[in-house]
Amino acid sequence: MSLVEARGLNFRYPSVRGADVWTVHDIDLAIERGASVGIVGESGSGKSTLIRILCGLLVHQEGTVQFDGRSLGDWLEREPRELRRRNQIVFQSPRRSLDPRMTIRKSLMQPVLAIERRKPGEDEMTGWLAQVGLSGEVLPRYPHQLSGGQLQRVGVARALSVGPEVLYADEPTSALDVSVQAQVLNLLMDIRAELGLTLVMVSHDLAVISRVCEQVIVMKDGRIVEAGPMTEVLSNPSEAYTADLIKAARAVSLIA
Amino acid sequence: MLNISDLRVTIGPHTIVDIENLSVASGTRLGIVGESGSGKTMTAMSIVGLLPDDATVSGSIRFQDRELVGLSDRRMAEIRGRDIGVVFQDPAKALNPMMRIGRQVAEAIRLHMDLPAAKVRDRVVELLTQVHLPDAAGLLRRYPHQLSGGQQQRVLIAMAIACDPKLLIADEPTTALDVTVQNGILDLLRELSEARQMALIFVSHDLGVIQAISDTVAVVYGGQLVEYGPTARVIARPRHRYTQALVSANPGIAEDSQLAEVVNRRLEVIPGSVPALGAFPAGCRFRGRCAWEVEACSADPVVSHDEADHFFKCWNPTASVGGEKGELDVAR
Repeated sequence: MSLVEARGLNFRYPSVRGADVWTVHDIDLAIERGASVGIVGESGSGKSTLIRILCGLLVHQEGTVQFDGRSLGDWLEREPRELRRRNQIVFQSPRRSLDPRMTIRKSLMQPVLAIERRKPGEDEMTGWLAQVGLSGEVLPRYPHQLSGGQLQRVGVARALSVGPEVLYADEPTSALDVSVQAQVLNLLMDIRAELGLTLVMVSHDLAVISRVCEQVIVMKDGRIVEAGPMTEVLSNPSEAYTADLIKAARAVSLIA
Repeated sequence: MLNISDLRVTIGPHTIVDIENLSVASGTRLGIVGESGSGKTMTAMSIVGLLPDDATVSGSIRFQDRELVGLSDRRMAEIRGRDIGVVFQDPAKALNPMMRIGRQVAEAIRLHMDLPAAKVRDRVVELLTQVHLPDAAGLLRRYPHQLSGGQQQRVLIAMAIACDPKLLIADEPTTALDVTVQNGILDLLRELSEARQMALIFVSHDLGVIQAISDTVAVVYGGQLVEYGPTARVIARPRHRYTQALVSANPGIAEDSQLAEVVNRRLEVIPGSVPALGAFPAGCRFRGRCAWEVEACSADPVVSHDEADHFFKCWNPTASVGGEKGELDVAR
């Protein structure tokens, strides 16, 4: 049985009128424990919405989503905190996903406060930071005093603090320089290997996905148009749309 | 057409740009590449005088037959927008959210050209068509939020080329966009520069984008030009260790046969981060982050030539095609 499974998943935002206007439509997918899955598509394809549903931040209207054999509805009703502990997410803009008026220390302790209902110790927090290559010196600082790369590391440390099984990452490097992007991608690969995490990463950039993910899901207009092992999809795409994305990414790829 | 010599931009005690020589010929496309904080945007913006209030500029920037350094704000404002167009990174922030597209583009024309009102509208439609926006006439009454990011950037390019500038400066114009949309913008900029013999200065942190758009590349670090040459050559055979590191950090999509091999393989990174203003080391500014540092690097690097049109400033460069380390071989 897969760790995450969706069948016939439909979702729309409440503000969208019309019964047949789905933001995410007719999604079937299965994510195995320990897999690394890249979800690729253009802006508005529904990829970010999809992972927010899978990790329980948005509630879908139709279809089923199961995490570890139980429906998300059941998880959210009975054990919402346990669902959050096991599924964590890192967002695109590290600057916007941290409260500018909170010190890093305070931001960092929020998941453990909310999920485990306890205050983490100083040594514990320093340990989380060490795991992502930061020192405890950043704890008393505010977000504006850190670089984008450092902030994204804080975002990853915060997500890992509760010991998740699945780490969702929504365009974790698109706000960063190429050189800093490489550092954050390495960090994601390292922690996945070290902790045996399942990694689900959203990106509009196939080049990034091709370096980090063994599986790929291609989305367009809220639907999955193609999915499979990354090497097969990239070397032999069955959809013209996938071929277009590959061509676009290759046009700005350096030939190594 | 544009000649920069001994350009120095300082803020207080700190030198943020220090460029001895850089020139752009008409109709050519120059890429300026470097990390955030390397001084690439400051270099480009010093040309059009868009610098912080406390910045001091010395040296010379000759554009066509005029000297731009020392121009009054008013004279510079006349040149900027008319002779030199500028496109910025975030299209949503560069457009006035309260003003219809038609009026915003018309404003760019009215500021610099003396056209009767009836002609202005035609010119706006013509410009929007030239940047390949569908239904240009219908767009006039739209507000920026009704357009996608790629469409907004096209509107800004239309405004920037409104007065047929001879030079267009684009600062990370595609960084906020999807890869597919980005390529459309790159194609448009290339097309406009070719059709109008308009020079382009394109600033980006991403060598992949620079490769797609520019014929010549200037690699900037610590406000200095560290390598310069034909883009394809510099990327294929970087000589400066900083350029080499930028190339290696770029993920790219591998050849089909290599895909399985590179997935999960750590990318090469540039250690540390760009120092804060005033915290760059003496000598080679890349010192401290460079894996190839030698003793000589504590002295100011001198210019070495690979080919006549390809030079770099590195004490311990990569091997040249012939296996030599360049004219100045001080590696140990």
